[in-house]
Amino acid sequence: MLSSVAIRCYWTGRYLERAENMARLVAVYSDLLLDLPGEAGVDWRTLIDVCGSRAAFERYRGWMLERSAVRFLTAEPDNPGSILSSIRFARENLRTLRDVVPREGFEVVNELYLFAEARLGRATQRRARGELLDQVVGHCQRMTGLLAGTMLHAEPYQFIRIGRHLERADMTSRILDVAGDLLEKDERVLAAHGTSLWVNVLRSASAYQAYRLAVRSRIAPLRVVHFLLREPTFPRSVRHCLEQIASAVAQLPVHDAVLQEVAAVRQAVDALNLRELVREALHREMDALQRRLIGLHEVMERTWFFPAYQAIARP
Amino acid sequence: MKIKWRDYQGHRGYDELIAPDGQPRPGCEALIAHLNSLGERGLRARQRAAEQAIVEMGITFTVYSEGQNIDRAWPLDIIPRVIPAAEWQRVARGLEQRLQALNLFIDDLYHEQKILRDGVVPAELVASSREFLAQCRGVSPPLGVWAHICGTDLVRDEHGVIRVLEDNLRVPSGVSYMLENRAVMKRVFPELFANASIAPVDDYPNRLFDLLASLSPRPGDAPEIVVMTPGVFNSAYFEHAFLAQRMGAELVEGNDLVVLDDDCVYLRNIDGLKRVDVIYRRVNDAFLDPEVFRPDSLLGVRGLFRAWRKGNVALANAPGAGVADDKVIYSYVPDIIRYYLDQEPLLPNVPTWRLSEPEALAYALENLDKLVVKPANESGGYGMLVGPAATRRQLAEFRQRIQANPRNFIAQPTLYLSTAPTLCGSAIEPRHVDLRPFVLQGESTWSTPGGLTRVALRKGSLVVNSSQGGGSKDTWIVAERR
Repeated sequence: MLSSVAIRCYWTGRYLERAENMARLVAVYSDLLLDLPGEAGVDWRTLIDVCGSRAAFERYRGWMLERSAVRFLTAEPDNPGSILSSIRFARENLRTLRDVVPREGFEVVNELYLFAEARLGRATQRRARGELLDQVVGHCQRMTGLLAGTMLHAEPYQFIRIGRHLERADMTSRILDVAGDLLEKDERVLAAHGTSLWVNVLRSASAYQAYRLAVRSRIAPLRVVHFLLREPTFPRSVRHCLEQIASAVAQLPVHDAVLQEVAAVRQAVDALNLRELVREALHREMDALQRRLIGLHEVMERTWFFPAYQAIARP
Repeated sequence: MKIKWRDYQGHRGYDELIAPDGQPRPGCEALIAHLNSLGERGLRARQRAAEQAIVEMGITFTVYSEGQNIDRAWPLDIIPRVIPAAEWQRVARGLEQRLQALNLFIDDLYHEQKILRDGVVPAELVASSREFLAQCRGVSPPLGVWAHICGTDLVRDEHGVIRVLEDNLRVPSGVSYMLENRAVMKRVFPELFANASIAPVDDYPNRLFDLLASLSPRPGDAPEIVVMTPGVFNSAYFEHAFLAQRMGAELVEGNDLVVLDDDCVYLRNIDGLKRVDVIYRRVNDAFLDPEVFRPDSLLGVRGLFRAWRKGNVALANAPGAGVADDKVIYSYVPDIIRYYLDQEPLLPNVPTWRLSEPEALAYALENLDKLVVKPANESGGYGMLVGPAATRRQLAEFRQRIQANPRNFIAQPTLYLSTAPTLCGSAIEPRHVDLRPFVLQGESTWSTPGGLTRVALRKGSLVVNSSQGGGSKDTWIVAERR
């Protein structure tokens, strides 16, 4: 398998997952902000922070915060992290993968792109927003299902899988990162709205119903953090994502270094003291986790995407 | 409704399917009868079915517009173009003869240049040709063949004579559409294929694979063959991907390949480097290797030319093969065939004036409004003047360009290309067509049965290029019934 094809499969997985996550996040925040009073200190900038694009947004925004933020995160072609951009990147990668990916795969994403380009601008209108974002999530899930159900589960598929789960783990860590910020709000706000904030942390990760089913206990910060980091049966928990990555990596050639790195990240997650984490260190530790995930990406680059020639035995 | 083929007439020139008396030509009887039985509505339904199939099968070509590459559905007219098998046999032999002679010519140009010393082709013509690559002198590619894959454009004039319009020896495209047109037609008209003896075309990818494999510098091994594309923005990307898939070869871009100190070419795979034996390259000479040609090329591979020169990798077509599809050289091809093969050309050229010759130049400038003038080194129908269709201003402009550099131009009479019945809205009307067969040369020479028929969809237009509003037809080589 060509390195360049592997890279494009990997990024296809990441971009599709990113588009889906972003659509879900914008929908959840729209809902949350309707419930919270202004003094809760949560606004659209919190979501911009999740995406790590505060500086670019401050340069971009107009005077209407919600309108600017939603446009920036959904339909703004100049924001590389917008839903539209993610879909466009996924489509450009898939265009060159038509030999590898089932034909309908390109069609689904092409259709999604045409839809996003024509309609996503209207997501700034609250009444249209939910429906439009649902469409994005639905298309992405259709693609995931289509690939799982029809694509050869050979090397290209494993790279898509790795991309998807790495992106998902990254997003879950970002959501927790923001939760860390919320914990630092003053007591009075937390007393009034704390539970609703944690409910929304769960909902941002599509974890609310799953949490209810799996935990069967009231919503408390420690349990939520544990669920999102370590619940093995929840498909968006960091642990589950890492397990998926490990299983995909094991099916690829020359995988030793990558597999070791995945195990190291997993160990780091297991070693976290959650009590201490919730009390004071969530922000710091999630930052560290994100850096570990970047490190994992770099090991994959050195192993498969851009290996140095010298390292390779001549035939 | 019965199609009134008598109304179809009333056009001067030669029609591929219908004789001047309104009767079907030999070999077309069954087809015409079937079209008649379908009637207008039936035909339109089939056309829609074909268009649907093209969308479903994802057959596209890429046009570049507004800074974006847009995939368009491939335009196919469902009324095929028919050529009797007996006539095609003669054409195919002519095509094979022509490519054999051209390959001898190219090989001679890069070695002893006997033909120049014997004064058959003027030496200054080659010296001034942009496509002659001095770096290729002394190289002996496998089997002595430089142009392995040739797309020859044929036209039929108003007297019914099939002539060669041009040879494409660099990176000719279109063969995937020939194959896909047939696949679509079999879905749309299965009954016709069941009842007639139409030569199959789908052998091409196997022939191409065998040809490429025969060029491998490591005989005996299963050769590693790749198709090299400039990338997804190229107008023929669909075809590059298609051929790679059909041959089971890897589709690569320049940055997938690397040349190491051992002057061998390697594929960059996730599990390490893998030696490449044969590259079917669809990247133009100028962009192949920034070490030798354009230093700004991002499409090529540093050291590729070196590896090829040393015989460590085969390139098809070989660099420098384009010297023989120069449009001025074209006018010498009949002499080239006589010189190397000692045979009379089986396929005539279109009469051609070389504007480097003073009398020809004077004649052309005098009659510009009646002639087609082409620059020597363009393809795709770009940069040419169609005299009868040009405005006075365009004529004046071209006159200046010719006078500034007469060597760069040839002139030909405006050919009244043959027509074929084409579904235009709800009517069947004659539209001008040409034909591009694909000829392969390795250990032996072989031509596709038929080829890609291109049709100018606009009424009266002679421009068949798909980038400029042309369509296509399936081409049937039909054995006559005994």
